[in-house]
Amino acid sequence: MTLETTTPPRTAILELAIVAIEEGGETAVRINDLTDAAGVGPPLLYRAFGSREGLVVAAQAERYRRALRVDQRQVAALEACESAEQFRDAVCDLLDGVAVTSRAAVRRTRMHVLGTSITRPELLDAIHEIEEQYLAAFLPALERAQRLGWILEDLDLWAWLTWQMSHVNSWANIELHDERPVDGWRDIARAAALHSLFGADIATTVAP
Amino acid sequence: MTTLSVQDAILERAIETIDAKGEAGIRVRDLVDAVGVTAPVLYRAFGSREGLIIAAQTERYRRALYIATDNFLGRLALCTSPDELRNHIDSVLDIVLSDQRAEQRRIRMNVMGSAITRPELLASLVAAEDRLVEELVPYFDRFQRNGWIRDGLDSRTWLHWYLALVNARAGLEVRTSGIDPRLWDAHSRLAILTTLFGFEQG
Repeated sequence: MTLETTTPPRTAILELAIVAIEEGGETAVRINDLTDAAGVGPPLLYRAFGSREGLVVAAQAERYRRALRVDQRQVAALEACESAEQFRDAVCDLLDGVAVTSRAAVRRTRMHVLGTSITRPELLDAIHEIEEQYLAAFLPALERAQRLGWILEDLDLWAWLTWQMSHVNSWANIELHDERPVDGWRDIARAAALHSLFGADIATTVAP
Repeated sequence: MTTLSVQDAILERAIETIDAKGEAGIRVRDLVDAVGVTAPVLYRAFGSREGLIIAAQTERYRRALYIATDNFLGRLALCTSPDELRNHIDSVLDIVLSDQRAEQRRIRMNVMGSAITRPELLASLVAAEDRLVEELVPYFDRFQRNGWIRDGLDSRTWLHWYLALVNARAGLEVRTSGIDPRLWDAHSRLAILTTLFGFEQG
């Protein structure tokens, strides 16, 4: 496989490494294959990424970034709410939109990268930064809702967002059960999220 | 030495190696030397280096998953009232949602991550988790018949959701920065207890 010759070599190598990981895991990242495909020599790769490990970490961080992109429409929908009810509906829509099966692939990518990050402080730092940027996009809308009394007043919003994100990430674990699908987890997850954000009264109405 | 014990010895050595150095640390030559056998013995038992890694990772995952399950099951069987059950689950969560289990979660997260691109390993991890859930389901079905947990809750589904959420604490534990884990635990405990017992008791 080759990329356009106009692509800067560093980007080309990174893209090729990402493709290699997605097709065959990290063991499929082979320096010679990548530099041949990018039309450069190995020294250029080492200058750009330091080592094979440096390249793998950069590629995994980029995969995580792409698997955790802010959907501005979701943010806008929360920010446009004019009543507690509208806000609650918008949160429900958001939760349902995130939980759809078509998002399973990005959850799986995140699980893959997280699993390989355990022994890699550099990759963990990169993931942490990506996650903070992602959550920060939703914070103003939640702060506004809290000021208006639409969500629990004593809730630490940043802690809630962090918890909910790892809750969402955990769904990848359930979705691995392809052969015998575990249906109905979305109802449990939704009720748990709404309960912690709005309190028992709301949760009772949405309980499965 | 019998064939079985040689196989076990290689497997144990492989598990120790992965624990210490990761999968990249697995060298067939080192392993067979350490166990005092030749490479063909290893290949007969595990097929290939990859086959050995899959067997070792499955076993690491299984051990990290089944930690303290016997005690948990034994005490579940002894519960005679909804209050006892709630107290039991609450005290189990004190241990589960604590740094005591961080190492097991770290291992599960690591094995699961490496399984994503290995269908065979992934299938055996999923099977290990399914087995654990199937062991727990009869207890929860009994609690439901007794009216101790929420009516209409599918206990199998709930158990999968619960295990996944607990696994997710690893995402916090491997970092040096981020939110106070006690806040994460409080959210998780509330979510676990209320989805199981009902929302009015939060």
